[in-house]
Amino acid sequence: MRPPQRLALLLSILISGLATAVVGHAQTEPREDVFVYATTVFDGLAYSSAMTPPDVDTIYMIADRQNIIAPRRTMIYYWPITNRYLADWALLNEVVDGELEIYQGSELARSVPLTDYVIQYDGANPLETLNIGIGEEALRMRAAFDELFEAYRQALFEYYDAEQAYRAALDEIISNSEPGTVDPEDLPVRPEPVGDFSLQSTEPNKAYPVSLPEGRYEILMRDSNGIVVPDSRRELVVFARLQSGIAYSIVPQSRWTQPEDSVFPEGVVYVEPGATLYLQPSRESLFNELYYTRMLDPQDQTAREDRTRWVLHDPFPNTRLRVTGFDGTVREVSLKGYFVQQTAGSGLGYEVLEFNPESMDRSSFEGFAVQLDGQNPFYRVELLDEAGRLLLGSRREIRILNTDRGAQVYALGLLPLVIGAVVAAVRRRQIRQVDTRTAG
Amino acid sequence: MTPARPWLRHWRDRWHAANSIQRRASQSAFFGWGIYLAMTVSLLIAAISVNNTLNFTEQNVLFVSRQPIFLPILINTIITSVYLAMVSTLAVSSERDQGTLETLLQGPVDGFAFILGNFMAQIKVYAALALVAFVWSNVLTYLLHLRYSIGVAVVLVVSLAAVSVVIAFGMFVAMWGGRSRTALIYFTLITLLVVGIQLADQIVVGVVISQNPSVNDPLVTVRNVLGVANGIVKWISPYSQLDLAMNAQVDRAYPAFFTHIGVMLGQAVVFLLGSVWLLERKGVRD
Repeated sequence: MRPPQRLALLLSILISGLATAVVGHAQTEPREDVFVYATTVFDGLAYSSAMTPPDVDTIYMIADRQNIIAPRRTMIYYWPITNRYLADWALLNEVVDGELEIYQGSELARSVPLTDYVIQYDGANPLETLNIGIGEEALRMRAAFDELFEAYRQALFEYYDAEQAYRAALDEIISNSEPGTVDPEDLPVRPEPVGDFSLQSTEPNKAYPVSLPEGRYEILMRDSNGIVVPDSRRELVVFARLQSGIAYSIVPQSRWTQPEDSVFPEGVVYVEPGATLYLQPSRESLFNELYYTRMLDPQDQTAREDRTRWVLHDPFPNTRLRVTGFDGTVREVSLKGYFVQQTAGSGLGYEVLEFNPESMDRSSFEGFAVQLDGQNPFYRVELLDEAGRLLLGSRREIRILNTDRGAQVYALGLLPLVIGAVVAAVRRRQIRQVDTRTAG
Repeated sequence: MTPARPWLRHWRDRWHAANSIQRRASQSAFFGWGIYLAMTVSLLIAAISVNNTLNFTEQNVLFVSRQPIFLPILINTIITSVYLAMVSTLAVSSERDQGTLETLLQGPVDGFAFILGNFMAQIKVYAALALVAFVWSNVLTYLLHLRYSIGVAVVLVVSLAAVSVVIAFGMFVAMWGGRSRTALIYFTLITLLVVGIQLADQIVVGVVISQNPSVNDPLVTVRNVLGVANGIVKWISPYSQLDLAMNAQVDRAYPAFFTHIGVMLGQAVVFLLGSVWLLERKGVRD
């Protein structure tokens, strides 16, 4: 082969290789038009959404809470990176119109028509403000939200106008006066800033709202002609929480990014002497592991029905921590922000400082600081509400563990041998006495 | 003085015979070194677990636990119960091997008294070991500054029920297996199978959780099969029942607590009656 021909061959191989590479990058997983159930379910704190593809036969939701089931036609594809079927909602997203039928055994328990719904909550305290509107109520709630938002927007405009006017007036006074001659009384009053708008709302959507008591059901969709929609039969497991309480995420000062959770009421936290802990309380609920996990991720393969799972919700608002030492000292600690500052030098290290808004951007974390001194071998911590009442389930014991006594633990393991030696000695003595008596 | 009714006299004689066997077997255990060595080994293994907790706390700064002493107690119960069950299996089957069982049953001892006597002997030995374990756990609590809990004493009492199942099962296998060696092999294999399923289940669950498996992942199938097997085994294995009873005690779930105790006691009775039945059915010779 002559050099120009060889060059041409090389070029063609390179080009075809590049083309393949380009094709490889552009490759997408094949889509399939299917019937799925999209769910918006109460997760113990707020609402979470999930998609149940055709090969998942059971839907899970919490009992006696308003949940949303939205049967849809969409395009799904398998995503090998997460081992999940995903929906391409942008390509196809059609709500299936008709009636959602819920059966308990062979009895039709409920037939739900397609309805409007709106979910609203205050971002500052989602659990206590969460609200879901159904039908006409949904439209009213959304209209009220729009009105409030419009009023907020108007207030914001007015504030910016007032702020602008204030600055202009201030500039004018400063430019027309000699330094140090302005009477503070003559200064304009600065306008009050408008607070954040923390109310959140969804747009009115159409779906099938469902609130059911605990139990096992079967659901299916019937279209407007009364015909059962293919692939729409699913099991529906409605479950209740098993227990609720107050959890603490405990941040040790020396490992602030790796908190440990104390989820069991009346639990014990064992610590090294001299440690400083930051306690972050939150509401918690105990659920069946399989039911809760599959509710949020219908394609999960790890959860098991014979296990339970504590779920930590939102941080507890407006509380103080009462710390009682072994010596009877009682102190109340309030929630504070803390800032983690890296130490200078090439080695790793940091220090935790109390957050100061004037010199620091934002706090790294918040918590109740508990300094464990050498005077007290154990502490009792419990949460108090705004009125100073003890919050049930918030009590924990913090004990200083004697971690340096490992050798003594091993020595203690020899206790049975000591007892055995004593028994053997007594036995030998008894035998000797019998022998002496027999000889005598 | 009116003579006792025949059935009452019969049971009194039986009890007397069982008690004599119990005294002889338990004394033999107390005056030997076996139980002291077995318990020392189990407490040293439990000490490894305790030390692991101490090292963890030292490096991790904190350790959150409801009752850190339950695991060492469970370890101690498993090791001592397996030892005692093996001893009772050997004791019972070797009586048959050596022909002494035949001689014994010619006298005032019947199969029921023989089984009951041997069973009570091992329970008495375990009760003494549980007392040592109670002292050990209290000294440990003081030494490490753990929270004192009456639950530890309760769990040690409940462990008697678990141990009674293992010992009764050992005797059942002795009657079923015939010769000492065969009985011991049966006992070891069945114990390993039951404990193995539970251990494998725990390990596979951990591996599955650390991955992001798909529906068709073979590990998920293995996990599901083991899960079903473990679902059955947990009602058969006295160790699982003891563990569940421990958790129920901490959770103050008293109906579940007494259910697990009831299951263990029921199993022990079934194995004991089964042993008597096998002895009568198979006879005193190989």
